[in-house]
Amino acid sequence: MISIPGLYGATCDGFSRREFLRIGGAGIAGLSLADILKLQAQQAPTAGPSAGQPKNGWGRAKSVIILYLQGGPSHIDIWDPKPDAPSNIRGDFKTIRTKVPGIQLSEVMPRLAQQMDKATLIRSMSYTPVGLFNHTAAIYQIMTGYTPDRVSPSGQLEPPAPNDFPHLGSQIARLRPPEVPMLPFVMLPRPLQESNVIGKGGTAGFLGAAFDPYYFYQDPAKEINLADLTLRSEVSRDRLGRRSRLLKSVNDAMPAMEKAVEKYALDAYYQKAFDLVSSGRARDAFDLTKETAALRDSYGRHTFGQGCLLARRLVEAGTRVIQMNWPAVANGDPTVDAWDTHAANFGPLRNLHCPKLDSGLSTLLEDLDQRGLLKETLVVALGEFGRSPRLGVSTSGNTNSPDGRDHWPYCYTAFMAGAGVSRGALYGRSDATGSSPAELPVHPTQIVATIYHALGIDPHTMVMNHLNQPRELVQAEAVTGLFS
Amino acid sequence: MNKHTHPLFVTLGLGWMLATSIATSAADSAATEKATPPAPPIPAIRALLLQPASLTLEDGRDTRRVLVIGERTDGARIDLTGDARWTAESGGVSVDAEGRVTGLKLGQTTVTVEAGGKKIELPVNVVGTQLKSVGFVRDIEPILSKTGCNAGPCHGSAKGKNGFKLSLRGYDPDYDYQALINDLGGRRLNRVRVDESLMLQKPLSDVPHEGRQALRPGSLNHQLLKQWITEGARFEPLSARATNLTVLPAIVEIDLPGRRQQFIILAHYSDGTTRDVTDDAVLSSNNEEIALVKNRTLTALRRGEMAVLVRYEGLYSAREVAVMGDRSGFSFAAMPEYNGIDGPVNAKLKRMRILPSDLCTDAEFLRRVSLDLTGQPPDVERLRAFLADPTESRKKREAVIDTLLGSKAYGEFWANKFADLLQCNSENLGKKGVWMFRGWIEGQLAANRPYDQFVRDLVLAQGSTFENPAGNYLRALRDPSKMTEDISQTFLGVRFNCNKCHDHPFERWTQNQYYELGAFFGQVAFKQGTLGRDLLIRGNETYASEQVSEDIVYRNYNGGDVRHPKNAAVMKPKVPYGHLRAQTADEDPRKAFADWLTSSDNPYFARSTVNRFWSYFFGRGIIDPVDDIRAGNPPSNPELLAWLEKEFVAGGYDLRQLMRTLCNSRTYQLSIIPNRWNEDDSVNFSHALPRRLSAEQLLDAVSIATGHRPSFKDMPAGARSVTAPDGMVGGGDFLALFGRPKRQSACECERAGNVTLAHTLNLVNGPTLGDCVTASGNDIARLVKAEPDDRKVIEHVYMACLSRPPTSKEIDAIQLGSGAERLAGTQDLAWALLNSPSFLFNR
Repeated sequence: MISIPGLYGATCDGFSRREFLRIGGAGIAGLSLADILKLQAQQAPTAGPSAGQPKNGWGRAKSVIILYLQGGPSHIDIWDPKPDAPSNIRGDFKTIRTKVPGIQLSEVMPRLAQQMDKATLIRSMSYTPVGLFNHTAAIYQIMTGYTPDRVSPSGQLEPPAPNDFPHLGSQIARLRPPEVPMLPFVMLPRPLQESNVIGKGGTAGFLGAAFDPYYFYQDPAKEINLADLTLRSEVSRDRLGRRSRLLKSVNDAMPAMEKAVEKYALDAYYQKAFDLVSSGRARDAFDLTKETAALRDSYGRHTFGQGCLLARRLVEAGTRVIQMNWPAVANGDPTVDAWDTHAANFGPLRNLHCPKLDSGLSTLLEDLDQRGLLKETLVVALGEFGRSPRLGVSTSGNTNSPDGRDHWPYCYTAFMAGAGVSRGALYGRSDATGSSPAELPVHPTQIVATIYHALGIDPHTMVMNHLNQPRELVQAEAVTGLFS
Repeated sequence: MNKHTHPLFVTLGLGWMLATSIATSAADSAATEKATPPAPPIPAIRALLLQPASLTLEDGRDTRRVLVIGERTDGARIDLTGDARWTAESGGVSVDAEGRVTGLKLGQTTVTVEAGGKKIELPVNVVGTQLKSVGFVRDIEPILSKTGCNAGPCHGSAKGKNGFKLSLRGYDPDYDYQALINDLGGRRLNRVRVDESLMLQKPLSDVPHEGRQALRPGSLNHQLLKQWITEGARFEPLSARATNLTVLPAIVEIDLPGRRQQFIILAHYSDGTTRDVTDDAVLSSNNEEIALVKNRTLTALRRGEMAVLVRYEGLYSAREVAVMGDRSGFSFAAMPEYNGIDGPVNAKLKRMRILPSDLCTDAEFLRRVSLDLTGQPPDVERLRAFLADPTESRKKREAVIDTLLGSKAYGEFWANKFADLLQCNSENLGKKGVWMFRGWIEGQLAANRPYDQFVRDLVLAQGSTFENPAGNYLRALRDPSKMTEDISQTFLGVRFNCNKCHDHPFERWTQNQYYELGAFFGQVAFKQGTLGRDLLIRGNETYASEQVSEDIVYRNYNGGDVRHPKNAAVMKPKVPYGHLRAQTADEDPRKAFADWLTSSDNPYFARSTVNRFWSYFFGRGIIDPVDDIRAGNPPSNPELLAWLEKEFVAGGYDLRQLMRTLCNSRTYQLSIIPNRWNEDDSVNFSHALPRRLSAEQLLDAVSIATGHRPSFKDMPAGARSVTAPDGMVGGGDFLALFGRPKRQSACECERAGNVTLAHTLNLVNGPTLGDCVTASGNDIARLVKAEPDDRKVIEHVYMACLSRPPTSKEIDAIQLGSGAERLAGTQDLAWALLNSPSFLFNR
């Protein structure tokens, strides 16, 4: 019943389109998710970056690190300075030169300026919100490639639901499982969140709970609790194996119960848990004490910086997708740490946010590059939108202080590096005030498509949802012009 | 290949400020992709019916429709409106291809309707043919809504669009009228050269309009607008606004996927007139997996239940729809009715052709009801006694429900639940505050204080929080905004947070109402009292940063104006619906509010409470989510909800009696094992839904099964996890990991009940379960030492972990090992059972 056709059979454009992968109906076909995981693992070697000649960045990435700056950072004050604009647009920050002639950054990113020769800035990100003009709707779009009004007909902000579109990391975890027993998709150090809506857009949705990310919600700048990943002293590997077999035999005697909780995918989760605990690989990856103090200092001794370091360790251990969410609620207080700078834009950016972003991101690039990992790791840093070029105006219905900036999805910047993304380049351009793209506009769903593309997954691959209806991974084209 | 349209960027004379356009989203094309099943053939029809059966047309613009219903030979009805052919018998009326009837000449006439091979006549009485004058409220405002002028992305946005602002979806006709008549120096309307009015040129795209052409030249809407301006652009009184809606048909039961169903929407006005507004109302589906709604027509996609949401001029209504699907071979057998719950459940199951599951076993029942009423499973002793009791099953179940309701564990467990809802955490209340508040709550529950009085105490509290710990509730909420939002969500099941910044987009609630409700709490103030201050003076480090003294809740006569954010107007306290009693001059406004809140006339108070409690016992509300009651979220069984509500009010808001009634119903006692005819049902309570144990239930159940209790910070040894008073501490990582809320929100969603890899990792290898299973001197170690018979050891471990004896086959499958390995083998068995879904779920 289950058909997983050869994923990348040759067609005129290098890979086959419109693959129909069945997952929603798998339970009906009598296969457990664990069986499917196994089947996929067997299929995986036939696909992947080695299957064809990489072109336009196709399949160059083995892993992706998404530094998700929830809240919506101000593009003009960080990535896309406008020194010639009037002061109520230009803002307080000066412009600095970077290592790349012709690319300038805001003065609050001095260390990144020295690493700009490794990355591309897309300064023409742009979209118009459909329906809700809030963080969650925008987060959902960049995480899943779809707008949420289709899945929550009430239009209300709702908690994650089983019929949500899957996070791109869950899709990747399913289509490109890791080559070693390792967590395929890790989200840290706290959930996506706006007010009380926690985790929307950050789940496997209709793919089923088995493809949810591993939520590592601890602060990597503090001591990390690894108890769950470290085999207990009284439990030898043999004993763990015995327990695993005993659990299976006990459960086999209660088939009705197993069936009643099928949707929780317990089998798959238990199998993964046993694999992880006995391999010890994950525990080692999370152990930041194995790094030198100097390197840890360079990343920055804060949640974001140490999270970036952890991301690199996870890449080395074989994790496919690491999403590091900015460690503050999307619509939180900017004077604490949130990017949502309706009030008090400049002080917090200069003193709080940007130094952390600068140390974490610049060291990550340098570190990945030195280890030769940057060529096979795609690094993406962006938020759900930029911020209003003009100070103190309301664009979302929120109130803004005179030096605050409101939501601005019509033009903002995404930061991309690695896996063949051009080094030291700009893609697209914003207009004189950073209000709209002047050339090569890029929709956030195209970033989603580009990530799939870089991992050697056709963005138009069809995946079956929970009702066995075909759904495209994303309805957008990859931005192949990013790659060199 | 690029499927999403990029936003259209338009630079305007107004400056660099960028405007939005209505972009076609990727999701839009996703929707069109949904395959609709082919329409099934029309079955043999024995007769046609019309709804309404006759029409009266009152003026020259009064255009009406009827629904054409075919009665099948088996009595079932299907909608044939879309297939009907219409013929006007004389020149008295005109009728178009879609069945819109318009009067032309005064008098009686008929329209002949043909569908499904049958004919029927529609009597029409034309009592007026003149064109009535056009009024703003009744005629123009609906056009602004229908064409989307006042929608969120266009002129309805908080800032308007390009200098033209309308109220969102037309909730404020007065404002909109002024915007059209007076703004821009009145240039929007040209009463002399009507066609040169900006209000016509813009939507017709005669001059550039960013929202593209919104009005077709010569259309009815165009004519109406033109006539309105010609007649002098009159406002007409507000009473011309529609007051309520009727949605036809009243009952919608669709036989097969692919079948279509049309609707008629009638608006009723306060002057007694009605109008067919089907073409102007906005209809949508609340579940596009069950049925799509487009152009007023519903297309069924699969078996299930959904609602069509109807919106017209600030009025909201919904019509529930059942899609039956192929149920051939089904025959209904009602479950025995134990009490008033089971009748409405049976009726709904019969209508939806669902067969209820069997009764659960005594052992299953005891575990389920113990977890639900007291938060912990029975220990082995209680289980043995219950199973050995020869009393008839139903009687002994009744008895055990009463025992559990009277136990200390009942108060402890429900105090924990209410401490969640009432946001008992030390960040809000300090360390001493959480102990006192939780203790007060438990006292109220143990004494079975009527729920309405319990709520009044919370809302009206004043004085020292040491002497009256109920005051901690308002203290936790702190400001009028949070009081407005959380009190309405917790006690009425209504979400008011949407209308803080704008009118509620999917309900009738307005922004004004938000601040009017907040005004009841404007004078609630807090100050630090003197009691307990000595603790601070002692300079104890632990307390240095915390308030341990009392807080005084008091009324600040001089303070607390609640102002509307738009115009800074001071808001007068006013309730959003129903009747507020008169207040005496110097009375605290909270008093009248509390009377209104807990009144039996308040349609939300009792309803939301019984619905919420229902969800605690059945895993899903009759309205779900339980704290989002609105027209677009109708109950799955209104009769059941009404019965529970009536009982609860009549019984004096007795929570214990409510829970007794729930547990004694046959519906509650159904098995989780489905049958062929109810396996796809998750909303009609035809079988029990497995629910993952809550964090506290899980931890306490592990403790009972193993006889080892983990200790919590700041808690006495041996304490149950549900007695920890603070959402912020206690139980450490385990409780937080398994979803114990921090108690910072009124939303039930703050408590998580999912399973992820982090959970299974913790259960497989984490310290909590691992320590309990292997702790020296726990029940497992004692048992292995004292009981030489392996079979008895296995039996005991099964009963301790799964609350049932094992089958002999299960016993035979286990080898415990001998000598030193026997203990390890027994620990492993307990470990495996505690990891099985039969343990992890309430079933």
